[in-house]
Formats: sequence, structure tokens, C-alpha cells
Amino acid sequence: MKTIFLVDDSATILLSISNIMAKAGYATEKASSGEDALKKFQAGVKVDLLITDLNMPGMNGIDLIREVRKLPNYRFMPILFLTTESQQSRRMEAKAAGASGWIVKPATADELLNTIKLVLR
Amino acid sequence: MASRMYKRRLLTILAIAVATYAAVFLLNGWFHQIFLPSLRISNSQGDAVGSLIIVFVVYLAQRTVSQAIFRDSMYGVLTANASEASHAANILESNDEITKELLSVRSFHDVLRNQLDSVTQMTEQAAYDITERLQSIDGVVDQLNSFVLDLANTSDELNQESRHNIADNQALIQKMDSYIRVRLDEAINDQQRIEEVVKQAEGLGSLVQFVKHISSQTNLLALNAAIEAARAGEAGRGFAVVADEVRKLSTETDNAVNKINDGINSVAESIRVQFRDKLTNSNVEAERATLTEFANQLSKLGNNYQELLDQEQSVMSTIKHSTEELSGLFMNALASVQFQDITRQQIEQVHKALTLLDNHFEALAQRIQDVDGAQGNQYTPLSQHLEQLYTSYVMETQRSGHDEALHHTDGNGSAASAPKIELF
Repeated sequence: MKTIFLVDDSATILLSISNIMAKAGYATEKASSGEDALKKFQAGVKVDLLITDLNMPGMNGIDLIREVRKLPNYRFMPILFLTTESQQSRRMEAKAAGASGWIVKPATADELLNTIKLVLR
Repeated sequence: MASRMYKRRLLTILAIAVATYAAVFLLNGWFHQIFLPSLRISNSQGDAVGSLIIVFVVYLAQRTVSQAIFRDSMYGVLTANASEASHAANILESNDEITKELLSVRSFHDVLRNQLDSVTQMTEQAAYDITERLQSIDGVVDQLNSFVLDLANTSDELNQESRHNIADNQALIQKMDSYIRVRLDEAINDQQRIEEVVKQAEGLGSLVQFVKHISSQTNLLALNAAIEAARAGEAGRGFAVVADEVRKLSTETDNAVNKINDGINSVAESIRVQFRDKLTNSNVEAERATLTEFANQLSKLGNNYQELLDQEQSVMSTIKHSTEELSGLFMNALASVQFQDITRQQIEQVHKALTLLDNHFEALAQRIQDVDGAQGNQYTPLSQHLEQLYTSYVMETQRSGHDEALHHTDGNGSAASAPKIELF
């Protein structure tokens, strides 16, 4: 079973998206801030995909993935952004930081699951 | 105001100058030739006194004219000054009021912020509750799904077993059908055979009659032999004994034949009686009809059961399809909870805008109090605050709403046309 790491400062988003993932047969790890997520990555959490929000208090999503990419175990792990932001400049910034894709909120369950399938293939 | 004052002074001076000129021109002869000599005053002294009088009269005239026309000895300047002083006092008073109001906007915004925080908390809690409830509903749906799957598996097994049973029943029906045919044929054959037996038994009657006839002839022959033996006397005595024995034998034969005949008739009657019911066509037909009806009922039962199984499979399929559909709906309902996160971020932007407005109103209040700009109070124009707000937006709807409100048509088109999902 593949494990997906969800990072979002909204408890509701974490609960709803993790439910969708569970129904689709994925295990989930959750963190409510960039800092918490980074600690778990530094502790060596085993995950197959990271889905993170962009705008979070404290460490934002782009800063998080910059740090995560520095860790040897996560250099090739797919990373998706799930955010309300759609600006091209922020996408390019995320891409440069090592992101694999970008999903604008609100996304349907099918959109989420199809994109996850594509990046995990 | 200054220009108006200047005009008024100029006009008054001109009018007095013209009047003085006319007075000096008209009264000069009378003044020097009659008035001064009558008072024994020299011309130089007279001119000096005359000049003093003219200056004094001009002064009085100016005051009188100003008072008469402007109700003010200084051409309306005093009235205007008093009015302006009052106006300035009013402005200062209103400035104080406006400053006070501007400084209290923060409190007003605090109220709005509290209301918005309340909306955020309520929607967040509601969205969380909805998600939890959806989770509970999904648990029930999963249980139902599991139950339906178990039921479907059991149903499949039953279905397969039932199909075997129905196939067995079909084979049994075919066997029964064959049996009915064989049974019918056998019954017909039995009927024919029994009729034949009866006929043959009845045919034995003529044979008995024949034997009876032989016995009767033998008896008659024995009687003739006895008569001839009696006629032969002593010599025929032995022959008479034989003839008598033959006659007795003939009588016993006759009796035996009668018994045989009775026996044959009795057997034929017994067969007839015993197979009478079985050999009638109606009974065979009734038996055939009963067996056929039984086979039909069995077939109908099988068909009904098959229909029941088909219907049950259809129900199972519908339930399975519905639970799958429900599962999809559930996931999309979960996904739609993202609206709360979007709303929360939009409200956070309104928070930021209110803080900018707070600072702006405070700067305006300070600027109003610092009328001369002596304290160097400067404030950032609202247009710059709007630009600052624009750069802090976190979603396209905020930017498009901003542009729409300000009637900007040169919004960030590249962001608007960016795909919703993009893989790098």
C-alpha cells in the first residue's frame, strides 16, 4: 500500500483529503505545518508522495520542499502542491524548488486521485 | 478675499479723491478770497489748515462710506475676519471630530474582525463536523457494501447450486416424460396381452367341449360295449367289466372336463375382474395426465425459482451499483469541503485589508491634526495600499474580484489561463 504525506494548516482539509485517500486504498501521514512535516521527514518517515499546501503560517510549501529535497531519501519522491493559488510565477517557483505538479483548490476526488495515479506510476 | 478688499479700497479712495478734487476746485475761490480774509488768516496758514481739514474730512468720509456700504469701517474686512475666524474654529472643531472618528475606525474594524473570525471558526467547525459525519456515513456504507458483497457471494453459491438443481430437475422431468411414454406403451401392451390371455383362456372352452364330446362318445361306446358283452354271455363278461370301467372313466372325464371348464372360466373372469380398472383407457390417460401435470409443475417450479434467482441477482447488482455510486458521491462531498479553506483564506485577506485601512485612517487623522505639515506627517495613498493588497492575494478569484471592482481590464491573464492541474 502506498503512503501519501499530507501537509496543510487546515484540519478540515487534512481530514477530508485523508479520507478520500483512505477510500482509494492509500495510507496517509499528516502534518499541520511545514515545520512539523520537515521534522517527520528528518526523522525518516516512509512515504511515496508528498501533497502540500502552498500558503501556510510559518514555513510555506515551497520552503518545505526545498528543505525536503536536500534530504537524500526524498530527492526523487514526487511532490504535488494542493493550493488555492494558481499564479504561473508561483508554479515556476515551486517547479524550481523540486515540485512534480500543481493542483488548484477546490479539486474533485477524481481529479486528485487521477493526478496521484499519474505521479505514482 | 484680499482682492475684494483691494478693490473696495481703491474704489473708495477714487471716489473720495474725485470728491476732494471737486470740492477744492469749486471752493478754492471762496476759500481764499472770502473765507480766509474774513478770518484774517494768511493763504499759507489757510492752505495748511485746509489740508488738515481735507485729510480729516476724507478720513471721516472713508469711514462713513465704508460703514454705509459695507456695515464695516474697514470695507468688510473686520466682518470677513470675524467670519473666517468662526469658520476656522468650526473647521478645527470638525477636524477634531473627524480625527476622533478616524481613530475609532480601528475599534469598528475590530468588531468586523471579530465577526469575520466568528464566521471562519463557525464554517471551519461546520466543515469539520460535515467531514466527520461523512466519515460515519461512509462507515455505514462500507458495512452495507460488505454485507451486500457477502450476500452476493452467498447468492452466487446458491445460484450455482440452484442451477445444478434446476438442471437435475430438467433431467428428471425428461426421465419422467420418457417414463410416462414407456409406462403408456407398457399399459397398452399389458392391455393387449391380458386380452390375449383372456381370449386364449376362453379359447380353451371349445377344447373342453371337444374333450367333453369325446367323453360322451366314449360313454356311449362303453354302453354299446356293455350291451354287446351281455349278449355274448359268459364270454363277454370280462369285456363287460372293461366296458363298465370305460364308462366310469368317461363319466369321470366328463366331470373333470366340467371342472376344467369351470376353472378356466373362473381364471378368465378373475383376470378380467383384476385388470378391469387397469385396462381401461381412461385410467391410463388419467395416469398420463397426472404424471404430465407433475412434470409441468416441476418445470414451472424450476422456472419460477430461476426467475427468483435472476431477480435477486438484479437486486444485488443494483445495490452494488448504488453503493459504488454512493462511494463516489461521498468522495466528492469530502472534496467539496475544500470550500472552507478557500473561504478562510479570503477572510484572511479581508483581515489584511482592514489592518491596512486602520493604519491609513490613523495616518489621515495625524495629517488632519498637523494642518501645516509642521510635524512632517505623511500618509501612503489608498491606491498604494490597494496595490500592496493585490500583491498579497493567494488566489485568482481575489485578483479578478479586485480588478473587476476597480474596472481594470489588464489583469493577470497568464494566471487566469493557467490549467487547474499541471504536471511539471
